[in-house]
Amino acid sequence: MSVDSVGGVAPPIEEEAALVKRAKAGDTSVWSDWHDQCYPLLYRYAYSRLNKHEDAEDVASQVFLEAIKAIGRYRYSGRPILAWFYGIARHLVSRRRREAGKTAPIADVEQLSIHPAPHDEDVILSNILVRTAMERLKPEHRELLTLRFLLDLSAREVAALLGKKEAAIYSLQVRALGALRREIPDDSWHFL
Amino acid sequence: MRLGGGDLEERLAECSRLFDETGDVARCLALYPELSEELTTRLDVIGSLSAMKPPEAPSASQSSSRRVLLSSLAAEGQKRRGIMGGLAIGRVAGALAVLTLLAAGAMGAGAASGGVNSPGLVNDVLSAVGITEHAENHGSDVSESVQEAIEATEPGPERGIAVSEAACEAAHDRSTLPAGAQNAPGQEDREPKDCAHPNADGTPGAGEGAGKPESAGKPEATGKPESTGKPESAGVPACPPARAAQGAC
Repeated sequence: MSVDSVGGVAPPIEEEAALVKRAKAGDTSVWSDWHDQCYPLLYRYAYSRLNKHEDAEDVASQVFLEAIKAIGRYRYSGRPILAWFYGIARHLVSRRRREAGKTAPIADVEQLSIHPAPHDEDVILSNILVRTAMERLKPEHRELLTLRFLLDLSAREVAALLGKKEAAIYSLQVRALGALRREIPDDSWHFL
Repeated sequence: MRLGGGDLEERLAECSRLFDETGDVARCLALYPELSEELTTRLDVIGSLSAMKPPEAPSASQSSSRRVLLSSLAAEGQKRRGIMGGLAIGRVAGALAVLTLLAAGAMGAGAASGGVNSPGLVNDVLSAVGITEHAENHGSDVSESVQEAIEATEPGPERGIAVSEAACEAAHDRSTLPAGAQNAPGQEDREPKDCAHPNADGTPGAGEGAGKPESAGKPEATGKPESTGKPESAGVPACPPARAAQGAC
């Protein structure tokens, strides 16, 4: 799922501004559409950061409850509504990770066993290596890599979500990949 | 091969853009063959990241979340309607509270200033809220009359009598009462009260209490039904002669 495919996420500004107005008035059809369009991406984002189905489910659902509470204060600035939902999700994920502390799983072992790869052990090790390295990155780099390569969003879509220019996203991606590479020990490269 | 500097970053960014467009690194390598090693390493990292893609959201989770959302919207709508209703009631209650405070404040201010001119503000408030259209300053007339009597007499019994009469006359002067009070049923043709003090001529015991000095100046006691058990003003007889003549008491 991409930001573009999220029908209500990147419509013309006037159209989305009208949707926001209706949402503020409690229009259930607008909220339902937003939910149906954005929930899958938010779930996957939360899952990629929390590595647990229940947590991802909670966060994705909680995003909309928080949004309902905050819509009165929300000022539409022309950015896709998904950007706002993503911001809420990011905040909820950070809070949940702080609360979980060191008990947060690096990878969902159950998930890995559900989707076995040809070389299971190597995949699991690679997964753990990369996730561990990701945790050591700057949040800005980690978010960029998550959105680009775990959620498969295009540079344009990420730019819309983060409120940056597309060219800036490519530059940031280069720096983020370089930083991740440096975080992976040289003697572990053969697992990748 | 390690390349450094901002130039490398620019070229790699350009390669990333080309890779997104074409889906392979051929064009990038054609442009920048020196980036071969760097690109290979980065593609490995990207491959590892791509292997960690999260699963799709289960449809049951999405349906459940949708239900929670809709019920939350309904609750929020009810809350909003409740707040609006509360605001309307609150406005009325607030207006009444302000009015009450204003009236109480005016009366309190009057009391603090010794009663002088106090009814003016109260009257203003009452007039403002439509309780009375116009009310003369009845209370201040009484206090002014008393003050004048004090100033016009020497200390002693004479002053007491003068003050008593002045207070009585001013208090019973119905012309300074609000129109509503003046025109109340049974009040229109009422005779003015006779405030002449029984001792005004200097002789004690001209009234009901004559020959009973212990009762002079005190509230009438039981056994005198004329008094109806209510205390009269100091020095004022229970039944003034003029009213006794009319058979009013």
